[in-house]
This record gives sequence, C-alpha cells and structure tokens, in this order.
Amino acid sequence: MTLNVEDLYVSAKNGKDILNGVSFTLPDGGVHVIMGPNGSGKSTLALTLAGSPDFVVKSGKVEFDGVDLLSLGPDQRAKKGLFLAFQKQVEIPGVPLKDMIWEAYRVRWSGSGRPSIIDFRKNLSATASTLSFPETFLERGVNEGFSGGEGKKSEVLQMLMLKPKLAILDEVDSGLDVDSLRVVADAIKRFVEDGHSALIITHHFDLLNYIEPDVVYVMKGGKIVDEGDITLARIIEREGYSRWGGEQAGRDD
Amino acid sequence: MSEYEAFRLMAESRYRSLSPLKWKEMKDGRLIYREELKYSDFAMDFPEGFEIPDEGGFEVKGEGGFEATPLLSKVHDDWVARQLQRLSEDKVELLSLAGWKHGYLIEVKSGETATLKISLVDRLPFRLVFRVRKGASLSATVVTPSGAQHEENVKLLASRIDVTCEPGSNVDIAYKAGSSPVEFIGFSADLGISSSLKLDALHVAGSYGRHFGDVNVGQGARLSARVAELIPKSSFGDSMFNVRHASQSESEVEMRAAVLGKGVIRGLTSIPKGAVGSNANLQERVIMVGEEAKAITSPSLDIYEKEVQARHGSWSGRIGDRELFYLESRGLSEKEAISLLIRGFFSPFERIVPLEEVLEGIVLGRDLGERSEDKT
Amino acid sequence: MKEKDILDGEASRLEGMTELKHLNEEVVTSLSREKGEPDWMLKKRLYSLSVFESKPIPTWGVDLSGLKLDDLAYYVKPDVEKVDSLSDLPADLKKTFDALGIPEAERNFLAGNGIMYQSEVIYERMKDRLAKQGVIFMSMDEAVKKHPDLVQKYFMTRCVPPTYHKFAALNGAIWSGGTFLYVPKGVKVSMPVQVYYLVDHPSMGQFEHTVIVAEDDASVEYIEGCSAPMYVKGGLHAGIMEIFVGKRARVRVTTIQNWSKNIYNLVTKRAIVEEEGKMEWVEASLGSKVTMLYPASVLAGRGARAEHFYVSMAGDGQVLDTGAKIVHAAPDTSAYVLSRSISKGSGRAIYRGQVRVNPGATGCSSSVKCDSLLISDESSTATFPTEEVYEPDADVSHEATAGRIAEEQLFYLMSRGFSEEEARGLIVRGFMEPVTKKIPLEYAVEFNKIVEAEVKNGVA
Repeated sequence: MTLNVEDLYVSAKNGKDILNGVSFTLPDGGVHVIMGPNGSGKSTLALTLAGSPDFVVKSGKVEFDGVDLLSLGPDQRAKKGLFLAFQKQVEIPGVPLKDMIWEAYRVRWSGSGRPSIIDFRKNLSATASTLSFPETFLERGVNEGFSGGEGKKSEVLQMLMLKPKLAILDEVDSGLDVDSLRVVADAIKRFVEDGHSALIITHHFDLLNYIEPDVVYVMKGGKIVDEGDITLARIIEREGYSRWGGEQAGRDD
Repeated sequence: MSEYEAFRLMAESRYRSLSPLKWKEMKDGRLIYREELKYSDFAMDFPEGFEIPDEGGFEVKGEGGFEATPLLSKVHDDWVARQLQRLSEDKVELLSLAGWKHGYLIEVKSGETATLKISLVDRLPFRLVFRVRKGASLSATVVTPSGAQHEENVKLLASRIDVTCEPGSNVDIAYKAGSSPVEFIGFSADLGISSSLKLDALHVAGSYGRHFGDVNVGQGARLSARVAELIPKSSFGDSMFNVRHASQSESEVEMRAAVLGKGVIRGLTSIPKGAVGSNANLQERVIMVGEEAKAITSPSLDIYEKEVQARHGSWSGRIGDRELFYLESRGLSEKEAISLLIRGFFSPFERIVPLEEVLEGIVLGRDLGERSEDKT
Repeated sequence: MKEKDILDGEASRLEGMTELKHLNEEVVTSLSREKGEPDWMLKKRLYSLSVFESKPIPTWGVDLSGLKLDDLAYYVKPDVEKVDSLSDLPADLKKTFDALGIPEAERNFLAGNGIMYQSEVIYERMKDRLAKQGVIFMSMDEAVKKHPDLVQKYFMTRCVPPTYHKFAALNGAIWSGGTFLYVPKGVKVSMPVQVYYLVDHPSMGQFEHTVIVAEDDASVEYIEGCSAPMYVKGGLHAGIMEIFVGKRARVRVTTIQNWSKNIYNLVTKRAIVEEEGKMEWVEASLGSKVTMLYPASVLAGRGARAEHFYVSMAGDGQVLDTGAKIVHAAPDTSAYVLSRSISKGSGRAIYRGQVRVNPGATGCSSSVKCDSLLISDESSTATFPTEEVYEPDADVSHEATAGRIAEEQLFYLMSRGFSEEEARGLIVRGFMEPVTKKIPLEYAVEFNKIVEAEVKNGVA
C-alpha cells in the first residue's frame, strides 16, 4: 500500500477553504501520525480521503496504490482497502452491527477462501472480546446508543474485521479511559504487525505512549507544516503548537 | 358611503353568503361547533345575543423609526386593502373583517429599528397591520385588557394582527389577547427572504375563544413561535397554528396549553415541493388541570419535499406527580404547587404581561377548588 | 371465469358473479339462497344493502373519485376444486406461489392454514389438530351453516355493525369467504394460524369477512397475506375483520398486504378488548393503489392493552393511508402505536390516527410514534394525528419525524464498501426493523427483499 497526497486543496460545502495544499506520502506498512491543533484541518483530510460528500476538492491529487482515489466513490475506496474510523459517531438504527460488518466483509472479499458466516461470527466475537467490547452490542444497531468509548471500539472492531490496507483513525483515542486506550492501542499494534498501515490523527499524545509511530506529521492552517519522528510528538506534548506560528485556518474538529 | 362602511358591507355579505362551512350557522341564535370537529363531547353552545362593541380606544407608544397611522385613513392604499382582505373563507375570520373599526397600520422604515407597546384600553375588535421594511427591526407587544372570562353581557370581539416582514427584517412580536367572553384573535405573517420572526402569543379563552395563526416562512427565513392557550374552567378554547415553508426556511413552533375547561390545539406544518432544506419542528404540550378538563390535540405534518427535516410531537396529560411531589415536599400546598407549575409553563410570556394578572382568579381561585379540596 | 362472463354480469350471475351496478335485493337474496344461508343472515345482508345504498362514499381522507363502484364485479367461485394437499394445487397456482415468493418452508409448514383462492377457502389443513383443542377454524361461509349460533352472536353485531360505514355495509350485503376462528376459554394455540389468499380475477372486488373470537384466557395468532398480479381494471377489496379479545386473552393479527397497484384496499378492522386482554395488530402494506386502513382497538375492560405496528411503503402512484384508532373506554388501559413508512416514486404514505380517552377512563396511557422516510423527489408524506382526551387523568403522547435518509449514514456505510444502493437498502431495512421483527421470519425476509428491490428502483 502506498498513499500519495499531492498539493490538496479542499473547501467545505459553504465555500470556506480548509485544506490549503496538503502533501505527504505514506509508504507501505507502519504507523503514521498526523498531529495538529483543533481546527487545523485534520478531520477534513481524513473525511476527504474517505470521500465525504461534505467537502469539495478544489485541486490536488491523491494516489492510493497507484489509483486515482479522488475519482472513486466512498464505497469503491473502501473496496480498494481504505478504511476510516469516524471521529463523530454515526448511528444507523435497526441495522445490527454484526450484520453490517459481515455484509461489508462479504462485499469486499468475494470468492473462495472467504470464511463461512459461522467462522466469521466466531472470529467477530473473539475479536470483540479482545477489545472488551460487550458481545450484546453486536446485536444492536450500528453504534446505536453507544457511549463515546463504545463507539470508538466499534470503529476499531470494524477495522480489525475488515482488514483494510490502510486505516485512517480519526481521534480514535478521544473519550477513552486508560484501560480502553491501552486495549485500542494494542489492537492497532496487532493490526500493523499483520502488515497493514495505520494513519493516526490526534491532538493528544496519550496514544503514542503505547504505539511508536514511524513518522509524525504536524498539521496547521490546513497544511502539513512539519515532519519528524516521536521526538516531534514529545515536543508538541511539552510546548503545544506555538512554534509553528499563531495563525490558524480550517474549522473542523 | 364611507370606505369603512363599504368594507363592512362587503365583509358582511361574504359572511352571509357562506354556507355553514366549518361552523354551523346560527340556529335559534346559537352557533354550534359540532360541524367541523365532530367530537360530540365538544359540542358547545355559542353564547346568545352578543353585541359587537365599537367605542373605545388604543394606545400606541414606542420609540424608533416607525409610523402609526389609523387604518381607516389608509383603506384606499392598495397594499393596505390587500392586507385587510387577507382572510380565509372562514366565517369567524370574516366576522373580524366585519366587526373592526379600530386599527393601525404600523410601518417601520427600511433599516430602522423600533420598539412598540400597543395597549387596548377598552375591549374592542381591532386590526393591526405591521409592515416591517427591508432590513428593519421591530420589537412590539400588544396587550388586551385582562379580566373576567365569563360575563353576563356577552360581547363578541374578533381581531387580527397581520405582519409583513420584508427581506432581511427582524421582527419580535408578543401579544396577549383574549379574556373576553367571546373572542377570536387571528394572526398572520409573511416572512420575506432571510427575515426572521419571533412570536410569543398568549391567548386566554373566555366562554368561547379561538386563536388562529397562519405564517408563510419565506426563503431562508426563520420562524420561532410560542403559542400558548390558557383555558379556564367552563371555557372553550380552540388554538390553531399553520406554517408553510419555502426553501431553506426554518420553523420552530411550540404550542402550549393549560386546560381547565375544553381545549382544541391544532398545529399544521406544510412543506410544499421545492421547499428544499427546510427544517421544521412542531411541538404541542397540553397540561390538563381539574376534573373537567378535556383536550384534543392534533399536530399535523404535510410534506411534499424530501430534502427536509421535520419533526412533531405532542403530549397531553396531567401535571406530573413527580413535580407535584417535589414541590409539596418543599412545603407548598397542592394548589400552590399547581399554580406554580402553571406559571412555569407560561413563564415565557411574563415579558408581555404580568402573569399574576392573567392567572389570578383563574388558576388560584375557584377553578382549582374542586381538585384541591378533594385531596385536602 | 371467462372474459365474457366478467363483462356480462347478468349472464354470469348464476355462476355466482355479478357487477355492483346490478346489485339489488333480488341479487342479494339469490346469493344468500345459493349459499344456503339461514334467514337471519339474509336479513343481515338485506339490511346492510339498505345501509350501503343510503351512505355516501366518504370524502374525508384519500380521494376515492377514481373508484368506479358500478363497474366492479364481485363473488367469484374458485376455478379449482377443493384439494387435499398442497401438491395437488393446479400448476398455475403453484406458479403464482413461486412468483409471490412464498417460501417453501411456509408452504410445507402451515399450521391450520387455509388458502383462499378467489373468494372461497379451497384448501384447509391441520384443521383436525385445531379441532382437538376445540378450536373452530373454517371459512365463514361454512361457519354460518355449521355454527350459526356462534356466528350470529359475533357477525356484524357490536364490533363492526353494518352502519359503521359505507364499505362495511357493502361487505355485509355481499360478503363471501373469509375466516371464522373461535378459540375457547383458556385454549392457547401455539402455532400461528395462517391464511394466504389471492385474488386473481380482473376487476374483482373481494369482500371477505373474518371473525376471530378468543374467549377468556385464550391466545391465538392469525396471519394473512394477500397478493395479486397486475390488472388493467381497478378493483376493490373491502374486507372486514372483527375481533373479540376476552378477559386476559391475547390475539395477534399479522397482515402482509401486497395487492396489485390498481386495487382500492378499503378494509375495516376492529377489535374489542376486555379486561386485561391484549390485542396486537401488525400491518405490513406494500401494494394497492389506495389503502385506507385504520385498525381500531376498543379497550373496553380495565387494564386492556393494544399494540399496533405498521410498516408501509408507498411506491409510484400509491396512496397508503394508515393509522390506528384507539378508544380508551375503561380505566388503566394502555396503547402503543409504532408506524414506519417509506414513500418513493410519486408515492404518498400518510399516518392518520386517532386516540380517544373517554370520560371516566382514568389512568390510561397512549403513546404513538410515527416516522416517515422520503426517498424520491416526487414522494410525499403526511401525519394527521388526533388525540381526544376527555379524561384529564391521562397520559397521551405523539411523536413523529419525517425526512430523507441522512447523508452521514449513507457515507458511513459507503466508506465500509457498500454501494449507494446497498447502503440505502440497509438503512431502509434498519428503519423498518422495529416493525418487521414482529412479522414471522419467512415473511419478513420476503418483505425486506421486496422493499430493498423497490428502494433500488425508486432511487434509480
């Protein structure tokens, strides 16, 4: 998997500019982190990569495994192996979570070698229990009545089950207590160790206590303004984002 | 023949020409509600031998860039004439056209701001026409006299308030009407592009009261309305509020009623085809107090456009035992607790008129007698 | 029935068929005689006929001006003879079953089922088993002869009298077919009693009449589904269902309605529920040109309860007007209504309901929830609830929402790899789920399939 974002300009539906020339490249595998203050455009970037209809790409290029991502609909992107763990909980009442995950798995992995629904369900239950995600929640509608923490776990569970090439995790660490944070971090580690890539979007350092990132990007004012390793994240933890200037653009988070 | 007489004649002939449409026509001097509603328990006799008073006066006080002109002097004006004829084919509404003699045209000039207080000195049928020009702001309160709901000498009052909010205007209107034995109050508003209207309307039913509202919410306009009905014991009150949406418009309508007598609370929100992006919320809340209370609620939605969000809800029932218990545990008697809760229910209207004035003798007095005596 | 017979009502009368324009006392009398009915039934028919003639077509609600009563034909004898097992059914009927997607499991596992084909129950099974419990389950026509006392007690008496409305009166005059189900005191019928009936004749109105009686402490579940292929001429279905729920008894009625899109489906359903009894209505409406369906529950005994679950999908040109009518006539009664509707194409789904709390019925509570989904530009919806509360000691609420599928839900599912169509289908299925879960699984699966297919068409 490779992701290549080149000079991406994105605005909201109301015309407000949010991303002002984002460029970066993710190599295959590993943990990548984008950090940035509130309103820097992180969530917009994540949603744009997943194909959200709420944002308009004005210019720029995004290549995912050599395919022009921007020309694809959200479902086709998912089928190519891109996954977004949503920051804002989306509820779909009446559609049981377990059914949704199975159906999503089925549409992505067709053909022989796919496990039977029974094996899949077993695996789903087992995976849920590694996340301390109550099995009864699988019977509920997608994210229906989930607390913030349960919602995050539901997203991570889907990631583990659907096995995308690249998972973009948008603030998957917010609203989690210490135990849950560790469980989620372990899950992401396992996911990456299996050869998948993760792009973690956060403005906290907490999660990085458990997962060492390969690259840390700093985003501000709708642009990637710096790049480094874990030391960069440590600086941010100490000093905040002031060293990259006071001005901000964007509006999300 | 004066203009006024001409109007009145026209209205009267229209009134008489209407076959019993919604209201059963006077039979032996009585008007029976049965026709429209078909709720047998609601059949209520229309008081006999009413008169339409026409003596008395108005008081218009205010500041800012407005102009108040007696309506009768403006009936030649096409625009005003159109406003005056904005009536449905409803007999009761036509009564208001036939009965009025006193009224004002109040105009707020483009870009100006005005604050107004209009008081009815006497019980009169009246008409008020507001014209708020582009970008202007108006804040107005209209108050009719409070007093007894049931009198020997029955007077019929049918009044209307019509508001035109031109594009970009900002209007805040609060009125308190009713309290007379037989009283109808009609309200209509046209909201121009990107205008906004905040409405607080309180109606106190007399023996027989009717409150009717009709608002067109224009493109990008916003309506926020609280419509309240206080229906004392042995009173009948019918409150109706209709809203029509244009694209990207918003409406938030809350109809409240405290019913000690008989009440009908009807709301209708219509979203025609093409009104994309409109957002509507219609809520009805009726508390029933005392043993005689009866209520009909009907919050309706009619939607022909899918790009919308609409909600409605209603609740009717007695004052919650939990709230009552809470207040009683703080040392209030049941009667005091109920009146406090009703006050809370109407608190948004405190800004128009002191609530004591409205509630006194209705809630604290005889109307609650039975229930609290039962318990204590 | 041949084409000629349909056009020529007089000629076909002897074969048991005529047109409404020829409806008169003589016709009704000969119909009753042909059926070998007792006198009281003939009197009931004639009285109903006089009521039918005196009442106008209702003008409130849905526009019925397209309904040409005069041109309708009624009473058709089945083309097929009585059969002993499902495999003996004529090939074309079996084909119809296949086309309708009646699951194999259903066909082979029908508890006490009867299949109604063209107005008369022609196939009934497992009746013996029910008979052992003392349950009476037979066609109404048969019941009139075999259990006249019982039928006379319940048929169009205090539940749906002929004067209820015009179409009830019409049914009373020329009813044919339908089910009589009687469950004696304390008997609990474990398996649902199912009837799958079909109307398969051009321009035919179907006037079946069903009576269900559950005596004190009894319980029974009754399921019927109906379906019809597309016709050229408009037809009328004006069935009646009368239900008596005894003290502490329970009755659940499930109807899956998929009439062809030119049928006026004007049905009357009413239940009287005694002390601590419980009535459940499950109504899934897909078909018909116009449906006016307002199942009523009269909560007549203290502590009685009614639950109404509706799901409907109004497609192109359809008007589905449904709602619940609840009468709280006794203290401590309660009701819950849940309605979910979808409008697509130029379809219009309407909720029109009424809750009434009678004076003296203290301690009652009623809760109505209805949600509407609009999935195409031309579709529309409306909610017209009325709550009449004549007893202040009541708790009555109504909640409703209307709108389209939320974009964020669509995007969420698409980001999981579902196509837009699939995502819509899933969301709609989820939307209906609170009601469809009340429908027996095999029907629900079928129902969901139809809806998903329709949703896909509707969007494209």
